[in-house]
Amino acid sequence: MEIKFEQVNYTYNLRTPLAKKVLNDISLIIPANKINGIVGPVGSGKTTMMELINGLIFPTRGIVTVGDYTIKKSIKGKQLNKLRFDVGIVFQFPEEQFFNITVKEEIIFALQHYQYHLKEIDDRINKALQMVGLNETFLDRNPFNLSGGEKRKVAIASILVFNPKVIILDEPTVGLDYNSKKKLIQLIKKLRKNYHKTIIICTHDVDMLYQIADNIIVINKGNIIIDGPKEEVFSKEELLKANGVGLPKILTFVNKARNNKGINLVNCTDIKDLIKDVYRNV
Amino acid sequence: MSEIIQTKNLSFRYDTELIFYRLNLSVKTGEWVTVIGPNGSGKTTLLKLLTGLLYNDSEIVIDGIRLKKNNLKTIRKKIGVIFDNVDNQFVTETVKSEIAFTMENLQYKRKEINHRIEKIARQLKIEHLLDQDPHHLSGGEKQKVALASILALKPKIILLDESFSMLDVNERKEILDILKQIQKEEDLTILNITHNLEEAYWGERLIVLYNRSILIDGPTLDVFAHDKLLNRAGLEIPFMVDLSMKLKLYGLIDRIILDMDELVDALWK
Repeated sequence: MEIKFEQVNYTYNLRTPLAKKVLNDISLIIPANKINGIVGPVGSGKTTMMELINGLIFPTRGIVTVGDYTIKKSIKGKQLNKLRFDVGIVFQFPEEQFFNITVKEEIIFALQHYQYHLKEIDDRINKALQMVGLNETFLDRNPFNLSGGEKRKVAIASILVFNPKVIILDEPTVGLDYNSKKKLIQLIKKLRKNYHKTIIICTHDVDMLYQIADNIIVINKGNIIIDGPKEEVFSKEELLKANGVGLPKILTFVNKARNNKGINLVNCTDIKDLIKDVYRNV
Repeated sequence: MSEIIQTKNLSFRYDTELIFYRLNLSVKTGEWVTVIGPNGSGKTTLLKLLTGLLYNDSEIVIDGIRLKKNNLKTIRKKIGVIFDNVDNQFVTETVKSEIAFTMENLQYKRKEINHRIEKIARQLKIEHLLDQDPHHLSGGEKQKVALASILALKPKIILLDESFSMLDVNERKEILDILKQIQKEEDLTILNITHNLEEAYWGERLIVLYNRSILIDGPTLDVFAHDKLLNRAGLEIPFMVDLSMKLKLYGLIDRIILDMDELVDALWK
């Protein structure tokens, strides 16, 4: 599902003394079936973009389209519900929102709210569990007793039961340990490759994005600074630096070898490939 | 150097969950020790035990005094704690009054208060912020103000609890560099409790908490060499450590180098 921003403005507390403009005429296309990373300093407008895509807020001016939906105030009732089934958001630390005593109850909570039939609920739960790599034994467990990584998977499964076409993840790896982070990255790749989801990740973790993203959007002070394939975006070191975004460490090393010593290493995302290339060039 | 923090066979449980079993920790005066561990390994519990926020009968000795319920005030005068989100701790309208706040409550003389503020502001390079509202500062500046408020009380020990996790890479480096300088000048003992292994670069010793006890304890670089063990404990080896160790293994460098420019120079002289 393609997402399009056309000259979009957003102002919080419009027409009040506390009015604050956070998006300035932004225009861009977020392509379907790709992993798209949104990066930028705190307060740059990342969360506002995310909330616009999900119809939690509406543009002050301009047009946001998500597939066939146009995000505007007149989108209400069933149409708005449909949009939110198609666009799932996993907020930062989603496990902090758990309030049921079993994983099953946690996952089906929203489905019951929308009056799905029992048979369909079971089918959807099984499919969502399969997608995140948890088996049925988890259904009766207390979500509060799971590991950090498992909790995050349950939170994602509770979004996947609606079979969304777009999945937005806000700082998905924050607070996870090494093994949980590795598994979550595999899951995100799988959701895009096997299930053709459009993934949007808001994060400060440029190292993770460099490994898995197809496209990167850089936003600062409500303006889109640059967007495009990750290789192109991360080649603009000075521009990124000026906008408070660092380069992935592996790329910083490659750049230093080239700029300081004239050594041309291959741009790679894996440290093992980097070491092989260093070995060849020393 | 004498031992300033000691726990002897420290065991602690929350209801039925055992957090520590016979944990023996010993930190010498003037050491900078990084404490790391995966989620749920007891990092914050350790901090709460050392400051008496959690209490049981296990033996904890701070600067020669056995921690007990009736001497918490004495113990806490020796320890300053910096948390991650300091916004909630600010109670006044200027940085200067914020740093002065606790000293005023402890009835320090005005001359002494001014002298300490002047000195600490110079050390932390925040003289230009003294008249500003702390709530309106950047993340890094706020952490410096919180640090100044603590350092002004001249504690012997500073406990950092994920204190710099909300800062960007440059802000974090700047404040850790400044703190390192102050630590040397004042012979401070620092216990940095964090999930970010990169912060271990600033300390000479690294302790890994895992499975209710200490998994590894030693000089920082020696602990980093246990990469497989650290990964199994859910910890991610920092990029520069990983790269440097692997290059050393292949014989491309002869020692671990954590500075990227220095590493590039060592590879292509």
